Amino acid sequence: MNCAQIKEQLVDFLYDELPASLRAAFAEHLRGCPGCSAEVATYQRTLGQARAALAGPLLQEPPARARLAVLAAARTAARSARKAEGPGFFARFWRTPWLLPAFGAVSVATVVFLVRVLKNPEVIPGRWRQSVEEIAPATPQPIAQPPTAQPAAETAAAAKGGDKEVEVAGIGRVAKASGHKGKATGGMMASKAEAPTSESARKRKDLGFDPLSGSLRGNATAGGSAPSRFAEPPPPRAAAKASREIDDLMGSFDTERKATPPAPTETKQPTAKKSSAGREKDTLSLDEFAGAPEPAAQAARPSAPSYAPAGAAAAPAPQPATRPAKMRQAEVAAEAATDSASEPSFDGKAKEKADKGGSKDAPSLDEGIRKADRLFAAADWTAAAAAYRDLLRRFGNHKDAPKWRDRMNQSLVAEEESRKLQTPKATKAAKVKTTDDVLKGEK
Amino acid sequence: MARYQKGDVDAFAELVSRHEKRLWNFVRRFVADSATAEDLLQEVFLRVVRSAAEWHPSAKFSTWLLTIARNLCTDQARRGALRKADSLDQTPGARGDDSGPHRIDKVASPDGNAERAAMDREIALRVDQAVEELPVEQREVFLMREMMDLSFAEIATATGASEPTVKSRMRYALERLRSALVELHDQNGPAAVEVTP
Repeated sequence: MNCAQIKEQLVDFLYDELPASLRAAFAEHLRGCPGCSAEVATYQRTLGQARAALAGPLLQEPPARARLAVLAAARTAARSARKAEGPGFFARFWRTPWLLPAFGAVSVATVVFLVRVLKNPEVIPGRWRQSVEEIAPATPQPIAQPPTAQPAAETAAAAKGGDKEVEVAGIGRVAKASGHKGKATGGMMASKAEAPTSESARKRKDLGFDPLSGSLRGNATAGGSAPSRFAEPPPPRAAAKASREIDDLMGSFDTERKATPPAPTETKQPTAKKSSAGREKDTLSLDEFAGAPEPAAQAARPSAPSYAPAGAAAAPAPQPATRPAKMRQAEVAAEAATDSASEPSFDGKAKEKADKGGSKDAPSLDEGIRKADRLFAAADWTAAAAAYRDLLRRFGNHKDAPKWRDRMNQSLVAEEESRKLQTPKATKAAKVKTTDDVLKGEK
Repeated sequence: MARYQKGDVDAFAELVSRHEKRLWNFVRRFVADSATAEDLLQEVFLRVVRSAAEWHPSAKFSTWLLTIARNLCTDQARRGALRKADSLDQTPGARGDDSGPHRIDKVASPDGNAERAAMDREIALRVDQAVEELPVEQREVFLMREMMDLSFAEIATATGASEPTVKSRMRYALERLRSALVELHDQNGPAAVEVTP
């Protein structure tokens, strides 16, 4: 290390910041160089004297005024910072100017909503509605409409969905299914019903679904069984199909009766059996819709069980396949005469009324329908036929006229069959006698 | 400082107590005018208060404080408002809050030796005058090192200069001081150079 390097490293040497190697070289040079050694010594003395002066006589205490002013400013700043942060969240929330109006509006809206819901739970869909109904079960419900007013398809669909409650319509409560959310519409249900599965058919049967009338029977229908429910049913598909079958059967029967001589009983038997089966179903549903208790209904129509007994086929004597028209006319006349004598249970007054038809005290349409249905359900075939005939005469253009006609025909057939079964011998005798008389007269 | 950022005024008072004396002497030596130095000292701490939110814990507070003070003092010097420093023989009460016949007279002699006390007084007068006459760059480096006890690296950071530059300025400042005190050296004899190999 030379003298120039000693000057360059002087500050580091004075402040003891030289690395150890350089410090050793620096000291070695000072030992061999009196000039550098003296110069370094003067620097060391100057630095010592300056330090002594700065730390001793020149050292002064800071003025107290500055300190006080600074601390006051610091306190003010801290206070200002706290004010700038403002009050807490809740304090600011409660000072919000729009809080009170908003709270009032929400309260009013809530009250209005609750009042509306309690008055009419229908406004709430799905599970909410269910809970509200539990809260307010005493909500007055309108009287249930006739079950037949609800399309059978909807009922079937509701049954298919496993519904626990089926409330028939008019009040908008179609079905409340555990799996549904109240979204099912009549259209959807109808589409389901149009393609029924075996499962749905079973459930329909459980619910008392009558395919002939397209309606429910039994406890599955709400609101009991008022006689008026049977009035004015829309012709459902199943019922229409059954009606068409009966039409065909009866049409063929009538045609056979009119165009050809009376067929042998054996030839008519399948037809009678078939039609009686359909009528059996129809009768059951009618009984229950008419509100008549099942046993009473069974007792009131003693001929119904014997309508098509197994032995009935063998009972009537076989008749010739072809007979003269006059013979048939004579038979009909004899049957008519027998009717008047062999129907002690016939309600004469009702028949009179039914026969009178358009008399002044004739029943109204509803009463007439109700009466006819009741008589039909009670298996009072003669009176029922007269009642339906009266309805057809008075209201021939009614939409249910085909049905009335069917039932009239059914009543006539049933009447004839029952008469044959009840008094087969008398009828036979009458027929023989009549035939003999005719033959005698011809001779 | 972190506590003061959360609103603890006592923490700030503690900071002031810790740094105000050294900072005051630095400012006082830098501007040489006690009134200006007092204003500057107050302004330094007020800037700390106003900029408290900007301080980051990773920064060393003393360096940050000295940087503020140095900037204020440098601005003061560059505006040309640097008044001539009070001389040690200025009558008290003329400026500032200095009291007593002379500031140097306040220096007490520890051992009661009058001759030694007179020499110390003379040395203090010369040092005080020599520091006041140092160029600003040399003065700030000398005062930062001697009054604030900062390393050359920290001084370089505070001044924005490189460390060799800072050391060079320090060497020039020492050279000026040595020139101012050389006569006293002659009177008292050269100080022995203590070199440890």
